Amino acid sequence: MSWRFPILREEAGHICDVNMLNENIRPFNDEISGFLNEHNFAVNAHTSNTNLEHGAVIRIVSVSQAVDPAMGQSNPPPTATPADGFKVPTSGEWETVSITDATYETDDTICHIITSFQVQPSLPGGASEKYGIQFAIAIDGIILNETITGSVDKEIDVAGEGYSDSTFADPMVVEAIEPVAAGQHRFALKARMVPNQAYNQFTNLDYYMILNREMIVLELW
Amino acid sequence: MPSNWVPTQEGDSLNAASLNTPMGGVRDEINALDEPSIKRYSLNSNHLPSQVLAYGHKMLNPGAVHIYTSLLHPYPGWNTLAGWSTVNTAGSVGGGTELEAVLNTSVDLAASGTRGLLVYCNIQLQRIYDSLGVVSAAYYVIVALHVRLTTAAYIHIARTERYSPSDSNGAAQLTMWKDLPIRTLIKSTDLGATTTVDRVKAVVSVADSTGAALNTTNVELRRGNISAIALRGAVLT
Repeated sequence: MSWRFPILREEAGHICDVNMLNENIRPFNDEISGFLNEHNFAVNAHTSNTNLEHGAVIRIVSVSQAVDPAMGQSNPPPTATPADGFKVPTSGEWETVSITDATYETDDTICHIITSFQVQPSLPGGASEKYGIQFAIAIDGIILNETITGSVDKEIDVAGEGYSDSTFADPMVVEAIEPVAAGQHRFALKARMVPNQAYNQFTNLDYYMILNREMIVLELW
Repeated sequence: MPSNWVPTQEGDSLNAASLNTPMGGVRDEINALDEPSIKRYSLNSNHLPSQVLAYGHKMLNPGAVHIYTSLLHPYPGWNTLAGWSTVNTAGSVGGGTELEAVLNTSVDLAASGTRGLLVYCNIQLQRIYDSLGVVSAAYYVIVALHVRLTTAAYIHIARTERYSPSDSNGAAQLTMWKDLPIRTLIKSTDLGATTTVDRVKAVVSVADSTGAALNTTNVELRRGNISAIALRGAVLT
């Protein structure tokens, strides 16, 4: 609470008593031992950020990788993984995309997880078209189902599982806002290859690459 | 930390020292209040300053597409500043309303506690085709973000380069309505000696990866939005 008036008033001529003295000091001592609250601080008490610790409200994790696709006029996009690019394996398992992967300690709070990246199939132009791809955000290795791109059910996605066929190179963003418990957590972008509508087998030439990529985690209070 | 005040005991003598010492302890604690002194969830927006140091937003919602050509704005190459067209409602010829977020105040990204300019950008791609009306997976649109310093110079953010090909699945799918999204946190390490920024914009270029260059490649963009907020916070990595 905001303040306490002395319980016992000293009067002129009274004998000084330790109990009275202690009782008058104790409330103040209790107050500053963990019970100061909003009433103790004036509105706009801290108008300047100089009194506020940098991470008092927001803590930021930011990881990124720039990848030159070596494309442009007269140069088609890469069909082999360029330096610093990430090749999504054909295992069908969820794989952690390198770089967009961070482990740190959070408070009991909410995290805004943002991933932004460039996707490139190995065979642009539909030379194979035997595969699709899915992305998702994972916390501590657990896939957040609501962040999975595309469908996992052929019944409701006639194009097959996954985000697209092999024709497209696309920029993508996958985001989520998730509560986390206090402790160490691993945030990561995951990717996996999935079959096309004919469930053709992958060949060694069928894969996706992740080029430019970035992950930002905003730990918000 | 909590005060270590010890009450005066029964029988203790009351003198200057026995009175001043405990009171001094309380005084010292008040003069150095730290986290455990304050009840959890006590402070709110009425007490604390905003952690958004600057912000800006721009949206384009034109009634028609704006067209960019490989003739005027061919992809200048990886991590190159010059040669791009700002996304604007007039297309490659320029002069239209630009997709550029102007911050309400300039912000020094190298200042203590300022951790970066968080940018959200979405651009709507409608079509890519050549001057004969042909679509080809070899035709590409490339977009990126440029941040402006208070010196009026722009910085190209290479990791924000994104591209997408024309839809080659046939004329029936010529109009793509595809979203080109970019998210990034621009930090002082992305900049040079000058670290104060006041704007961020979307730029576009066009590539014909066949190199045939017989026909001009056209990119049609439509709507777009860009938002930027400069955040104060602690960077963990």
